[in-house]
Parts: sequence; structure tokens; C-alpha cells
Amino acid sequence: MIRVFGWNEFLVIVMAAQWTIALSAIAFAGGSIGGLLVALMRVADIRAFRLFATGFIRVFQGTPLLMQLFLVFFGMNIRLCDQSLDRRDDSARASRQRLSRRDLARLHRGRAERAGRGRDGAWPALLSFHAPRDPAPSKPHRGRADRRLPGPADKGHVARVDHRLHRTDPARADHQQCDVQPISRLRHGGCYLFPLVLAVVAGRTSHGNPFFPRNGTLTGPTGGRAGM
Amino acid sequence: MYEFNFTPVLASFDQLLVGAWLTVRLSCAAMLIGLVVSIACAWGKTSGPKILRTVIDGYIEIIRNTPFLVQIFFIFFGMPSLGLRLSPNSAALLALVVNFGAYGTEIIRAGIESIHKGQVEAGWALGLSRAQIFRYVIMKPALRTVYPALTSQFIYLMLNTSVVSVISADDLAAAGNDLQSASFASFEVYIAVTLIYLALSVGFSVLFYAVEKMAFKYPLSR
Repeated sequence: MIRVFGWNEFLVIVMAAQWTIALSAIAFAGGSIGGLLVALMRVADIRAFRLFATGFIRVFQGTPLLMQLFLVFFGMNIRLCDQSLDRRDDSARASRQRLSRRDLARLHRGRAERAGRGRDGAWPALLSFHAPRDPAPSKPHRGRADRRLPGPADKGHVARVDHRLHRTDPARADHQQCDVQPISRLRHGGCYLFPLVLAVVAGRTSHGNPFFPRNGTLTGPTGGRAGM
Repeated sequence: MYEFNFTPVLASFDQLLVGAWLTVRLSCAAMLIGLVVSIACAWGKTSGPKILRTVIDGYIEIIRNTPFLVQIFFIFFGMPSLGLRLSPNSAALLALVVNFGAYGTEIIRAGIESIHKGQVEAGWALGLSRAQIFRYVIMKPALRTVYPALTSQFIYLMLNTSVVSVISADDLAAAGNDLQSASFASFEVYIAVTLIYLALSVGFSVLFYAVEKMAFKYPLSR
């Protein structure tokens, strides 16, 4: 028997539109954050970053969405099935530890030196989420850098900030800590407000959505482990 | 650790190339016919009567606010109800033309509106006919202005052809689907198909750049 298209069938389609809105909002929020990162890499001073960003943009602009969908669907199945959560924890922890104090200082020294090149160098410096205590700022800007940065921060505060920013273990943060100052997190937080609001609205409107179950915990490949 | 096996892909690579050739033909045909539709609609929207402008506005709004997948389903499955039965490739071509026509109309309209009114009046003063003014004074500079947007839209159209595989048109994506269902090497097949799409996209970009250098090499002002 052929099912007749009626009012109930129309309502089913309308209800399915919730998924469309939720997926669009999630993709918009995630794409905004990812797009910001790629845009920063695209204009970075490091040539490898620029090459990577250019290749990323060229590949995703030059291939159909359908093929990207197929590749993610079939490729993620292959890659993630044999990778246990423990191994992913280990690799994530190892990659975080690579950002040791010396590496961060080196990164931020470059940022501080760039501040002398006028507006081209100033905007990446202003976008930083935390500014380090630069061990050797460039000479003409030493005074200005010292005024902006705080004095020796207490270890507990540094550990808490480091825990929030890098999600490290506060008890083990003493060997990873760097002098950080959350100077512009609130100031630049507005950039992320709109995507976050959209994501929250999407979560509220998607009843029965596996990404946003009613108990509020995230599920998925990570198993909702917020400590990741 | 997953081991890639490209042997079935290489063994049937000619199937993919046949599909790629149909993708290129579909894209070029849709672009040429769609360009004619776009120019006609852009002319109607800028200088046609009000009823024509309303109809064209409705066409553009409907096409630009619905997914291409829905449009192609409507043409392939809905048109037979009206007595028009099309083959999959013909339906794909019609859907691509209709889609490109709507986007192209807006692009060319923007180019036409960028031409200053004084230039048209100068054409009248020189004694040019209406058709000559439209061709030499309006369309040629307008196309030059909107050429980058038009070529981007064409690349987008070429990438959109992957969707026509859902109505069993024989394009590159359909060839890839056939191959992966026969070989079960899904990841490898779609990697190869994606790389072919990427090569087509880069190739068309280079071609359009060369055409731009040849066709628009005259100076804009003295």
C-alpha cells in the first residue's frame, strides 16, 4: 500500500528541519573557530603555517562537499576504530607537554618582537589569549612590555590559569608553568559569543539530538570526558 | 594499522576518467547555456517590464534559497508528473542550467549596474544601435568586472555536479560509487575521486586565468 502524503507526513518533515538548523549552527560555531585558526595560520610569519593553510583552503575549496563527507565517513571509521581512548589520552597529553615553558617563551618572544613592526605585527600580538613574561623582550619595547605584564605571579594562580588554558593537572603544573596573564580573554571573548549562543540555541531546540541529550552531558567518540 | 590498497582503483581508473569526462562536458554545457540564460535574465531584470522583473525575481529567490539536491529531485522525479520525462543526464544538465542561471543572473546584473549611465549616453551620441550599445558598451565591461565571480561560480557548478550521481547520471561521483561498491575499497576510491575533482578545479582555475589574460588584455583607461 502506498503511503499517502498528508498532514502527519508534512509534520515529520518539519520536525526533521530541527536537525538541519542544529547541524548548521554547530557547523557555523565550529567553522568560525577553525576558520579563525586557519586565517591566523594563513597570515603567519612562519612559512610552514602559511603553506599548510593555503593547502587546506585549496583542497577544501576545490573538492565537492559530497566527497569530503564520504572521506570523513569512511576515513574516520578506519582511523578511529583501532585507536583506543587510552592511547588518545596519551597522545593528547604528550602533545600538550610539548608546549613546555621554553617553547611558549620562544613563541611569545617572537610575538613581542613583532610588536615593533607597526600594525602588521601588532594585531597578532593583541589577539593573544595570554601574554607571557618575556625573558628578553626587544630593547625598544622593554619598558612598555614590563608595564603591561604583571609582576611575579603566585604559583597557585599560575597553576589555576594554566589548568584552565591548557587543562593540565594543577598538581603537576609546576614544571609546565609559565608566567601567563589572561589579559585579553574577556576583551576578545565577544568574538566567540555569537557562535556560542548559536550552539546553545541549537542544543535547546534539538530534542532527541544525540549531541545534546537531556541530561546535558556530551557524548560521542570521547565518551563525554570533559577532562580531555 | 590500516593498509591502503589502490590496486582496484588503478585497475579501473579508466572508468573514473570516463566519469570525469562526463563531468567536464556537463559542466561546460551547463555553463554556456546557463550564461545565455543569465545574460537574458539580467537584461530582463535591469531593463525589462515590471511583470518580467517580478517573474525573474521569483525564479532567482526560489533557486537561491533551495538546495541543489532538492532542485534536481524536483526536475527528475517531479517533472514526469507534468508529462516531461527526462533521462538522468538530461535532467542533470537542466538542473545545472537552472541553478547556474539564477546565480549567474545576479552576478551579471551586478556587472551591468556597475556601468555608468553616461557611457550608455555616449554610445547613443556616437550613433550606436541598441544592440551595439548592449554588446560593446554594457556587456563587455560588465563581464570583465564580474569575471572573477563568474569563474568562481563555474568552479562551484563543476563541484556541484557530484550531486547529480543521486539520479544515476554517469558522472565522476557515480563512477566512484560504482567502483567502491564493486571493490569495497571505499576510502581509496574516494581519495582518488577527490584528487580528480581537485585536479579539475585547479585546471579550470588555470584555464580561466589564461582566458582572462587573453580576452581582457585591453587597458581600462588611458
